[in-house]
Amino acid sequence: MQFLRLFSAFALLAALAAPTPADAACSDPSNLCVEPKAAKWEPDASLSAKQLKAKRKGASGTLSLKIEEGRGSVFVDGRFAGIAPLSSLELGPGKHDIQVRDGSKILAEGVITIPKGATVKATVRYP
Amino acid sequence: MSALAPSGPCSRLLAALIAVSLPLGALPAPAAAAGPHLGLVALAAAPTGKLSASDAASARKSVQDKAKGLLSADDPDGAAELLADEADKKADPILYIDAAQAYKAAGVKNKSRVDLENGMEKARVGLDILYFLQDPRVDPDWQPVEPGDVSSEISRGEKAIESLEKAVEDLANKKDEPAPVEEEDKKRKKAPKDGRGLIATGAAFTVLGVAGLGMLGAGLAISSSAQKHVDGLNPSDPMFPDQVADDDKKGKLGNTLVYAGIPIAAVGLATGIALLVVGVKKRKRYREENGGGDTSASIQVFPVTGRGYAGLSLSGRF
Repeated sequence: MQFLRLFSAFALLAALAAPTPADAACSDPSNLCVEPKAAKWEPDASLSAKQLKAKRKGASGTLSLKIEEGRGSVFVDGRFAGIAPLSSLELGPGKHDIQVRDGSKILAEGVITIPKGATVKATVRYP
Repeated sequence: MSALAPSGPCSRLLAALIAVSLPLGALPAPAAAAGPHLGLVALAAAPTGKLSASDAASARKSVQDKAKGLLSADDPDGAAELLADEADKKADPILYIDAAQAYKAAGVKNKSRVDLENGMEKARVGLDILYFLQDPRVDPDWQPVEPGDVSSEISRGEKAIESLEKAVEDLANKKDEPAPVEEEDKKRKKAPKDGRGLIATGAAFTVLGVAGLGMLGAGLAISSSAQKHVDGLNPSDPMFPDQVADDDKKGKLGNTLVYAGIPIAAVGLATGIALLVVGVKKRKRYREENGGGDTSASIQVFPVTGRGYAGLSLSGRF
């Protein structure tokens, strides 16, 4: 009985004292990881001018982007979108051309699909 | 109904409108900078619609003229702020590099590493955009710089970074010289926000938690020994009731220590460890941002024994 008490006391302590697990690092070979999986990421792909100008129907989504242990600027659909970390960048649903770079070094580039009304989180690993 | 409450339909409508407009007013206004086909709303820096190099140059000219005035009036801080703000609004790489140069002047004048580092970051953003302008992914309708000027602007940006790095080095070399009295006073008044408070509080809570664990252990040991003693007693012994009462007392004391020790240990360790983790992260970030700093901080835990006592000693330097 006493052993049971001892174990339950330590189990409670262990549960309370355990640190929360850190965010898993991005290990994708393209250096960019997205969440949720519905937001498709196609590394190295690009959009044609016609695709870029296409009208987008439906609720906009948002894109948040951070760079792990590094700096960089984010370019969306051929234009400067801001300096990472970007939070809640509103984007129309569908495919968007993304490039993240630090000077002459391209950290990640490709096409991301933003589902209607979705909140997409992207993490770029600094190579 | 209260005298202040809306009584008629008009006042109810007004109240409803106010109720709806208040939360709407609190929402961030969509930036005018959104591109028509991009659907970008949260961007303050993205240029609108079509931008030709000549339009960008004329918009830039007035900002550069104002900044020149501020620089000649010996106000490099004002010039740097103006150029950086306008660079952000217009996403103009040339203004970013101009801002970097103004920050360098401000950093040298104020002997401020922060100004110099701000300058470096502005130059890097300018270079990011300039290099992107050479990339096939760039939108042909967005030309903030004349294509023929991109290469020369890149070399201007890189030179700006080189000179800023040298200025940081020079400033670091001058560190050995005695700091002005005013700056020393400011340093004394304001402790750096490097998480040392969190680490110290976390360590204190952890000590409390360890003390709780000690209480818990001691309580378990006391009650266990009392239980063993009771189990070994002979019920036919005339002293049996007195001995049971004595052991019962000890057992209750042990249980009290266990019950008190559990919450103290749980709260102490959970809070302490959480604060330590946050504090260490904050310190790491602070060091990354401010470079180096005091690296002699440490925590030591070692056993301490003496006549009639034994325990753990936790000491730290924050």
